[in-house]
Amino acid sequence: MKAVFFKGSPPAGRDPLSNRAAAAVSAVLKSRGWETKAFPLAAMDIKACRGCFSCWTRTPGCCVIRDDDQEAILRAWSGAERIILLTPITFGGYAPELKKALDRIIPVLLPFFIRIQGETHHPQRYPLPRRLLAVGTLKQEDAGNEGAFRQLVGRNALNMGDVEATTLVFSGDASLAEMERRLSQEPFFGAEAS
Amino acid sequence: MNSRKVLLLVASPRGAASTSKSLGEHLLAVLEERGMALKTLQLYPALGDERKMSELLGAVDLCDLLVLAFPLYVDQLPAPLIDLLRLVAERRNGQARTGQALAAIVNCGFPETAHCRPAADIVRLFSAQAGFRFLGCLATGMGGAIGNRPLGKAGAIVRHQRRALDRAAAFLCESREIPADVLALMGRAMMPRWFYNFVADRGWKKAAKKYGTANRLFDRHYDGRQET
Repeated sequence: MKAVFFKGSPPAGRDPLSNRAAAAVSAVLKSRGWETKAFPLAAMDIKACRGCFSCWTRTPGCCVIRDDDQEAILRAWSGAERIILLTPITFGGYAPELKKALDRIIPVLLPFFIRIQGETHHPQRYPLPRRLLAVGTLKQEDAGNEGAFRQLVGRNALNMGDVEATTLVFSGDASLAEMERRLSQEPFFGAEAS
Repeated sequence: MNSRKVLLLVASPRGAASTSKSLGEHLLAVLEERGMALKTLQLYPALGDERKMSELLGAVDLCDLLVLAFPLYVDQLPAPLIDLLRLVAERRNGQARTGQALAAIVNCGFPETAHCRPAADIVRLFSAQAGFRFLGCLATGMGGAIGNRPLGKAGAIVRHQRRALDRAAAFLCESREIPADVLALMGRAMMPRWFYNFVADRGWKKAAKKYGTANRLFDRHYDGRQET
């Protein structure tokens, strides 16, 4: 199984809860033996999307910004069957560390329109039977932030081609062991490696 | 005379040539007629520029009404705008001055306005955390039909959006929440969905033809499952 892990935690030390969740996801991925590309986004040079749509017209499938680290992400995404997003929940959405990479992901889509569940969306350039796992962290439980986060992940799943999505939220002082246990139970990860 | 200060913050990488600016400036023109003092700043030129970012943060602190105008990126706000909002909230840390209000204008390229819902939630949650009174998020689909033109030059297709912004201004002037019927008017389709999709699809092909890439639109630059 090929997986891409977007580690959207702030730099180490700034958000221990989010960094702990990242460690838990890494441990479960390792236990499953999946071929994983993990991207520590806070440490990567990813420039802001210019909104030029060159990746759909002038250089189809390829971003015109070439002097940063985004291309490795596009390359990994094109072959991934499992996508994992991890982020501190920020105003009910993703932190900028994660969002800067997602803003630049549109080369993996085609410009044309299709209908999914009665709405308009873009087709995938690299169609695969994907699944999405989004892991959010909150310093304290907050139903409003969690609800907005779950809604956002649902919309992302639709835009990824109506993929099956799982959303997990860790809050408060959740321990590494507890996080690993909850993650391991998710059907997203399948059965444990023997 | 209303002496309250309005800051329009345009958070589009296309800056002065953006649909976000067109929508925001239409609203501002009406607010100016009602005597409000206006300022417009662009977010993207301030990225990585300490002086401009400091000016921007100062303007956010001083305004009475902050209007965020941005395009929808991957179902929510563009990353640099989230970064800025996080910085604003951290700087305030519960110490915001009272009486500030916030409204937002978001446009997306899909024909359905419903795509913008998460963005509206995010702006509302930011407002609560940073101490702004949230007055509403004016969302519209079919942003591509405006094509970065001033609303006054976009013709009858944007009549609902123009009316919605005009009506919203009356409420924002008095620091009142934008009513649901005005938000719904802003989200009304500019044209039939099939027609918008037809024109959009044709537009991509036309652009590709111009660049000599018409037969490469479906290219797979990376090697899918062969990638490791």
